Amino acid sequence: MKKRLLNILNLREMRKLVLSNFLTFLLLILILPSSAETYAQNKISLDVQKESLKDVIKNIQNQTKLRFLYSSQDVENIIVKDVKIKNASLKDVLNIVLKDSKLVWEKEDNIIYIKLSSVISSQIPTIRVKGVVIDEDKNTLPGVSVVIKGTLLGAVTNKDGEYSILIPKERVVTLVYSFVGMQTVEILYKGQEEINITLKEKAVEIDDVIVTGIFKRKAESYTGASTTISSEDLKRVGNQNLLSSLKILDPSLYVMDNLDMGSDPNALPEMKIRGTTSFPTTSENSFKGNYANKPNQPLFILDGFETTVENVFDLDMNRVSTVTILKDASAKALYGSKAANGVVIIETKRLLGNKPKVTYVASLNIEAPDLSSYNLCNAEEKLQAELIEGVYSSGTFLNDKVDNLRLYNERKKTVADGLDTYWLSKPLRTGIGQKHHVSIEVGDSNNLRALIEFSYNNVAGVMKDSKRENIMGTANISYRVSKFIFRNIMSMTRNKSNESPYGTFSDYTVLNPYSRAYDTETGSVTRWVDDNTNTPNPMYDALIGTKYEQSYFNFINNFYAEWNINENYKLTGRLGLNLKSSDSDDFLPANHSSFSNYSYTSDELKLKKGSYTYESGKSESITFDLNLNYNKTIGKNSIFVNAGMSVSDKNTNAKRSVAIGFPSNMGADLNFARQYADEVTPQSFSTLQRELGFLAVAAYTYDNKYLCDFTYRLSASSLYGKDNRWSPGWSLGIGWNLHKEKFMSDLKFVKQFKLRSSIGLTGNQNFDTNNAITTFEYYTDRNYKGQVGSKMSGLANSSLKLEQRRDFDVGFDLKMYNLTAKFDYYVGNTKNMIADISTLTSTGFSSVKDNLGKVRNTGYELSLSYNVIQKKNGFFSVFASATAEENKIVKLSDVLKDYNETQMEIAEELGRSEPVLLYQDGQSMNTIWAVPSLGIDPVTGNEIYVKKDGTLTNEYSSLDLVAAGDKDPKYRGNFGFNTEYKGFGLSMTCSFLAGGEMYNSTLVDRVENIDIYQNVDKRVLQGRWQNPGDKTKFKKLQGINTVGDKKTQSTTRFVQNRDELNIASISAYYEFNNKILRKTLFKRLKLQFYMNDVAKFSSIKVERGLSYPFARNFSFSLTATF
Amino acid sequence: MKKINKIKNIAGVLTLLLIMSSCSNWFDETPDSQIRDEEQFSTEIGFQQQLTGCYLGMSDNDLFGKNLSWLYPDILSQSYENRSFTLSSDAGSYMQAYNYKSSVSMEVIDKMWKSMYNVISNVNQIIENIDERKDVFTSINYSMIKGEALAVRGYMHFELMRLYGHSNLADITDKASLLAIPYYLNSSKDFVKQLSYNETFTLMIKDMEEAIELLKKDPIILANNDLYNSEANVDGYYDYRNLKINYYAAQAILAQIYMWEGSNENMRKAQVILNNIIAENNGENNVFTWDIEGLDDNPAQTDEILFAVNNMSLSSSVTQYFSYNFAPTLYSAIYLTETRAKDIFETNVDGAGDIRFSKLLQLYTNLEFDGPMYIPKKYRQENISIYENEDIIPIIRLSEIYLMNAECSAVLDNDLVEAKIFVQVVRSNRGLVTELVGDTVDEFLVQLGKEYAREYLAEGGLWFWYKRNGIGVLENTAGDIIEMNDEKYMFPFPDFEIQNGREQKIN
Repeated sequence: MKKRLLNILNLREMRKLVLSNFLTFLLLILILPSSAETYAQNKISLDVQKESLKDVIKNIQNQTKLRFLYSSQDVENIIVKDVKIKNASLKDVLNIVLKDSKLVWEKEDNIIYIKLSSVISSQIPTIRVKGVVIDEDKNTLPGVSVVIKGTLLGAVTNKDGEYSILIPKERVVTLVYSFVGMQTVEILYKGQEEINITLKEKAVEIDDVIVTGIFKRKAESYTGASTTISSEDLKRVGNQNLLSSLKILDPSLYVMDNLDMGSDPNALPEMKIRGTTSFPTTSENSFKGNYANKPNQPLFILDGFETTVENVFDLDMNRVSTVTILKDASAKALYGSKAANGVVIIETKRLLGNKPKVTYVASLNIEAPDLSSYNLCNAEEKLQAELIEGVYSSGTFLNDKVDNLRLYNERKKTVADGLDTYWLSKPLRTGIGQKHHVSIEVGDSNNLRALIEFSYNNVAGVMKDSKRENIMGTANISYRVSKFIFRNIMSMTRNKSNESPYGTFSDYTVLNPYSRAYDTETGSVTRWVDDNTNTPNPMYDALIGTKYEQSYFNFINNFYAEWNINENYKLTGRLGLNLKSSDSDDFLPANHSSFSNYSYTSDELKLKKGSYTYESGKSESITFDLNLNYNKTIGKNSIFVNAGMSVSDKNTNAKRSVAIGFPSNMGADLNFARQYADEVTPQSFSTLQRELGFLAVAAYTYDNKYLCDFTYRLSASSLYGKDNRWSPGWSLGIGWNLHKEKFMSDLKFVKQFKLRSSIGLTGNQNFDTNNAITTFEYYTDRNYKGQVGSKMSGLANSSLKLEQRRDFDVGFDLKMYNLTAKFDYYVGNTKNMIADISTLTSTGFSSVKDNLGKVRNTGYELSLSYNVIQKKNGFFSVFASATAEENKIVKLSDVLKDYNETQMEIAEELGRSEPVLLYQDGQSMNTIWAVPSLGIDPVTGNEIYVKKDGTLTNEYSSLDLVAAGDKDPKYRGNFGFNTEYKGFGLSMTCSFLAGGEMYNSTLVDRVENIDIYQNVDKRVLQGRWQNPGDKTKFKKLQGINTVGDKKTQSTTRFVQNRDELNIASISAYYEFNNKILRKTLFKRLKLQFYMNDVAKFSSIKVERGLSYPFARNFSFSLTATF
Repeated sequence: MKKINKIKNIAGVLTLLLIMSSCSNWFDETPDSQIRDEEQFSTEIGFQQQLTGCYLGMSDNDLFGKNLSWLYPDILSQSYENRSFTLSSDAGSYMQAYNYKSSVSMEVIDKMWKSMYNVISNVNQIIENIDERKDVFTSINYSMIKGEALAVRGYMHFELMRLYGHSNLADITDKASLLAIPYYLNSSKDFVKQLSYNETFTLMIKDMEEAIELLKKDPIILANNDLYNSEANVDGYYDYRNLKINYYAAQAILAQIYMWEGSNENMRKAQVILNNIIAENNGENNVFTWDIEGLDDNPAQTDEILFAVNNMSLSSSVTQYFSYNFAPTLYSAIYLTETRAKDIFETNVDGAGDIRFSKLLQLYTNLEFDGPMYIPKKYRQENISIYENEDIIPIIRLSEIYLMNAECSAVLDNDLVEAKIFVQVVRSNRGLVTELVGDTVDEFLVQLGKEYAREYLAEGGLWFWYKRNGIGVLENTAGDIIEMNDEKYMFPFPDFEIQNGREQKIN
């Protein structure tokens, strides 16, 4: 056991904290001698004419170096008059000083207690109780006050944490143990002689401050709309990654389901906050590494510096302390021209105490494939479907027909013999991953502290051999010297991710169940699943050394310096460095299925089988900022001012080349390539963004009642042309703490009621290419008799402006009884949206990036939480939150109409099963456009459409397209409960969405627009029109020869309501109590079990996870502190 | 407070320094994979590359590399039999029927428009930047690059006018008000108003005249020949002068422009230019020489070309159309029927000795088809062994100087004797001894048109002859008579241009 000495500086600080933070009936003040060792044998001299007792005591304390303990209530207003003593003993002096008051004194060890004489009644028999007070880490705690509840009687623990106190006999007595930074404990005295107490650390009160990433603001005086989520909440709902926990916790962050990529551990989620604001841009960047941002993606700030969504995705959740989502203008205007899509602030753990501590978290994660959305034919059904579609009756000549019939009989026989391959399960597994995190808090003095962390995370996906592995090491060091604080956080991450060599899941869903995965004789994987069609077996690819591998190394070093110039001024400087290098290696051996095409049979092309795609990228960013804070309270007026500037330089560069012609499967190395790929030149992609910004923030509060915030940020970016280099962002927020008003403060049950509103302007910069400046490129595919030529890369638009969003927000925060509520209404108008617009081709180019249109996002957000039971042994609380959103195009310029026409032409294309995107005033940007359908004519089996003029037709025309639904759900939310009883905890979170529609394109593809040579949905047999009079949902079977012409195009028949309820997370934990742990080396031990995506109830049945299936997650985790 | 003031000062000074010293330059940076205009135009090599890029643009398959030289103009002038007529996906059949509104032909026509304006936008970058950066140039580079750039701009606009403008401008009386194609003097996304034909011609002629003045330093001029060996040509930039718009090509283009305008006054100006070229090229050391030998390895007759473009993918694009061992499955093949070929070359008179018939056409007989077919060989690459002769697509030949001059003599001076002498220079170099017939100017012009048909087969010249003269009737290969008018002579402007206020009157 380590003994700790009370440090003076530390305790002085604590005293400050006591004064400012503690609202308690007991106002105890510890006045400390500079050295506890000096014992008071000094003689005391006093010369007092008329002084307060408090000052006199201070005087005595200065002379004796003794500790005095008293209640300031008692000594208040007591005046000591005319005392003149020289070289008297302590006893005499105190007796003289206190003689006119009702106070008495008592000395115990080095402490002098001064108390009211009435409370100590020597007539009442007393009993002495002793004990030791320790903290959770079993360190003894000196200086803990132990007081009899309702009285001022008490004691303080000595340097070994021991105390003794006299308690009146035969009376019901409660002892109150309190200490700075610790939870106060009350114990009912039941006659024990010894009471040992363990005090728990107080949880960090995150409600008190709002972290903005640049500075901290008191929550009470803040006018912005933001949500702060603690690490406890994050870990309560899951331990996969930060984004999947955030998605469950705050519905205003909308993380879209990726129907295609499912639960691919390497697929980064797409998300948006408060609605869609940007047009989809066609990106020329086809690189695998993540170098560019999606247009609607929010800004992520990690420890004060901008970071990428990939970094957030790979961040170990155990490092996170809080996540704050800034939503309205008042909150996000600090980030000016980058903040339009909302800002997510992530703060990693900081060092609070100075106790050496080791925490180890381990978890075992199980991912199980979820194939419940698939409803494919089995071998028998598939064969029957083929028969009906006429696969075996085609052919003009007799011998073709005979061949077809023979093929059918052959297949029928094998199916009858029991061949029914369930292809879906072939590339899948139950992925078992593990995660370890060790954090070591060190630092033996208050000036130097360090937190060292190491983590390992291996996510094993459900496709065989697909995985993502992160190894991360961090060092967080802080040093404090006089008025300076220096801090440096360094982290290094090594990521390695593999895609499954089995290829994509869709390769398996199309395979016919009557084809063979394994050879009948040898049992080994077949190369061809069907000798008749020469269809390659994708499983074979995995056996021959196919490799899809990506990796990156990320180094981040953030340095912070803080100078507390005086109590009003603070200067903060920060320098952030982020370096990342990434690689991607895709190797397809010569006998990979992608080279099985007949064209590879020529001698020349045989030598070109096998390919190796190599990609490498680098990105660097340097950010520096400087902020000066001014804080002053004069009477009831408080002023906060911040002035700052920032400079940043970000660049990325990626290169790619493709080599082909590999002699063997073993040579998975570029060295064995015969040549570079034909007609594929080496490619590169690069971005550069430089920025300079100035920030001014002013906040004023009067009496903590009336609040006012103003923020202005001016920034210049290299992304924009000379005409529009500087772009401003601003916000104005006001607030009113109603609960501080007289009429409200009488209502004791209302703890907080704050009204707030804000307005402001922010920008969006998620556009990677430079469109405001003319740039040039070379002709790489040809030259002019040996001379090199260059040309313009595109038409520059030097007047291109920043996409800007004007936000209005009004809301309230309410705390009453055990209920906490937060409500917001917002309107966000995005203007100057950047899009490719058609130009006159007489400019030489067909499109140019320009600002156009206006889009409005409106919505409501409500969150509630209610503590049903809050007892010493446990609690039960429920919570719910919901958001309602509407997106509307207010105004479009005419140029987009041309885009719409092109889109309508695309809609006419045969075989296009997905609706096109059209933009029209008054509609949502995510509208599903489809032709109204009355369903299937029972007589003919054809679809009946309704034309714009109301007439019915069988002919499809894109002119009849109507807005048939909105892809984005109107309502989203979550609800659930948390409970804990005697260390056992349980929580459940459900999420829901409603009011949106979805175009069920997988249904179209699998039931109507089928390729009969591939596997199809069961409804092909059951649900389609076959005979006149059949009332069905699906069109008639087409017959193999007409299928191409009669493909189903976007129709309202497949626009379905999407209402979903998802049991997103269930978690249970048990935390061992201290009594058990005391005998072990653990200070804390917690076991936890999680289940994610437990069940999903949906109004729409759609195949989910096309290229990669969805998975259910289970996880066991253990947290131990030493 | 003193301390604070100090901090404020330091911070302020730092910030100011940052802004003032480097701000502007610091922001004017683009990623490595992009080259900014300042960078591109910071050296003369950058200017040279940008100009070369313009020629690469011109030699693209959408323009002179294919569509605008040997493919569509000859289809439009009804020279080819076209097997693709059965294929609805090929623009050839629509073009031959002058159906410019089908989606496939519209695509070809819109691409031509866009590609030419793209070259104009690119060349305007040079013109806009060159005077500011005059200091980076050495030797003749400034005047040569600026001259060529202006010539490219003028020529591209001329070509647009020839394709999208009216036919027979000589007979159009309202050229002062009739709107021509838009003339872009800047590289910009902004709308440029259409000007009248007269104003457009003024701009075009101004560009060409300025160009010719600047190109007087051209090493192609015999007096400047030593420049080929000077520092200016250290990287071989001035090699192959006839692949660029050189001094003579620019003059020939200006003559073409005057002729296209068609007024007597302008034709006279053309005549002066043409006589000058002939005079300068009639001495002992000719710049351009008649090329009648060795046609196997030089079917394009490169020595007599004033201006040609080079397209590296010529051999692959040509094989889809000119097939010398005719495969029945090659549906895009184009050729001349036997009757057509013999008609054009007048083999019943003396055409059998015409090398353009005997050596530049390949006879192929396949019993599956109607009869023997003649396939133009001007782009045949198989036997070419000399690098200079590879991938050449002729645009202006020496012969055109003579033929145009003959026209001027006939029309302006009514001097058929001189006119026939000019034509005979060409004919004698094609193996023909007899003079062109024709007793009146009109008769002579009909015969001159036939010479165009023989001389510019697979080069497109005939179509523009027809259009310039407003020939009212054509005969297709099936022998049907087609009445010609501006609906057939004028390519329509792209729809989007019309929708946005461009005007194109087609009567």
